[in-house]
Amino acid sequence: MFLKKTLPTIIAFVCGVTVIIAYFFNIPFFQTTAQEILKWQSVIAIFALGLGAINIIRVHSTNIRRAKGKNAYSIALLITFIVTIVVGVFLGQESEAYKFIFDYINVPTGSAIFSLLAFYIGTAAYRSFRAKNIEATILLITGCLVMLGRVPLGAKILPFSVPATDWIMSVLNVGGQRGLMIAGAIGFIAVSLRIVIGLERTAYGGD
Amino acid sequence: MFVDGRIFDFWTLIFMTGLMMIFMYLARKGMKVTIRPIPGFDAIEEAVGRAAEMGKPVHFTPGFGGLVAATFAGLEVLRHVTKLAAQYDVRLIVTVSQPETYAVTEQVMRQSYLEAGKPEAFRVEDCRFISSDQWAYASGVIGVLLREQVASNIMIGQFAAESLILAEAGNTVGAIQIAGTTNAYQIPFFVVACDYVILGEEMFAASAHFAQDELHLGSLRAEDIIKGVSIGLMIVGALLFTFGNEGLVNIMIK
Repeated sequence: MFLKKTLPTIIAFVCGVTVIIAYFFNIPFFQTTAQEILKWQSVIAIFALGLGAINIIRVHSTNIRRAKGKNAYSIALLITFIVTIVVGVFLGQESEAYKFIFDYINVPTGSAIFSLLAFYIGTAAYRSFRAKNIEATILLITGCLVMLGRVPLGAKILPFSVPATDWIMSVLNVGGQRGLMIAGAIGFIAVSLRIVIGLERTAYGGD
Repeated sequence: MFVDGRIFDFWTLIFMTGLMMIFMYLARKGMKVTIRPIPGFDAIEEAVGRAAEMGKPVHFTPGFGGLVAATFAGLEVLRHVTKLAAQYDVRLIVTVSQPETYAVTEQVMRQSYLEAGKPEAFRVEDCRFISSDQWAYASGVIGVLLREQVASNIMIGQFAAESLILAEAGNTVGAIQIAGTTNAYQIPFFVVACDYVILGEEMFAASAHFAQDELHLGSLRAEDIIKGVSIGLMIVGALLFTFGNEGLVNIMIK
């Protein structure tokens, strides 16, 4: 109980209070300690990365074993995983081989996934732009107006759409977003305070 | 002694902490605090029940963020989902993007299965670390949703540009979808693509909603009062500024 709950709570409280004091006050001791705590955060995250790597190997080797070596995705993942680690560790991150993996495999595949967003915006808009009820109708009208106001052709078709779009984006949209942000920030602070004083059980892995 | 421009912030934090402590104390002494129903939270049991009826798994992800407040709120929901999954004998697959979140997530799942009386139901391979790269994480989650043909997809935590990609992948497999994030730019994507959305700060009511214990309820009441004070300050500040008085602004920037 002490190692699982009490000690982590004490560490979280001391670290949390130290960082808070360093944020508000110019006291050299707290400033230096807070910097050290933030460095330790990165060190601990690196240890967690090791746990993540073990999990990847365990999940995908189980997949391969269950599929009797026929799970192509898991085989490809484990091979690229090992190759990238070997290249990074033995040849270094500045090597041509590592740059090749990053520039010609990692970046293009990432961009490919990102590009899906354009198509998904279309499919999501198609489904949601149906006047099923009052809210959906307001969304449909506002969406069409903003789309018209954002394209050059829209100003020709409906000149009113440009000032209407500006007003919707700068008044309604910004107002709503700021409301969400302020309420979210208050909730954020409350959860952080509960973690520092040990009330938020999930931060310590449960009861 | 104070860092420039943080005097008002400091006293605001002291005020918030004090108010939370007072209301937690009052709630413990018997003050009644009720929470309005949050449809997204209430739909979680329906989502797990649907998965049980269909014999398919439930997918949960706390998003792309590290150990930030939104992720903790998501993990609080995960505790509840895990207990329901244990109760209904439904397979729960959890995908995680950040290594430090993975370590906490696995412990939360393990502990929740234990609390539900079914520690043997926890399978290590069902809590999956995908990648800390945003798009690798997105493609990994899409893969899990499509290959496992999940019946329910719950996404509550910190999300960025991958939110719509994940929600549309969930829609492709016909999953009932419950999503929540504090990122104001991603909420519209969830609203159009998911069945239930937990809006912004509603997420932080998760612990009070599920646990219903007096300390969390007291803290939630304090948050509501702080929101009321903030709205009051904004109205007074806007009026004063409109009439040329910058007194409140000058106090707040100190």
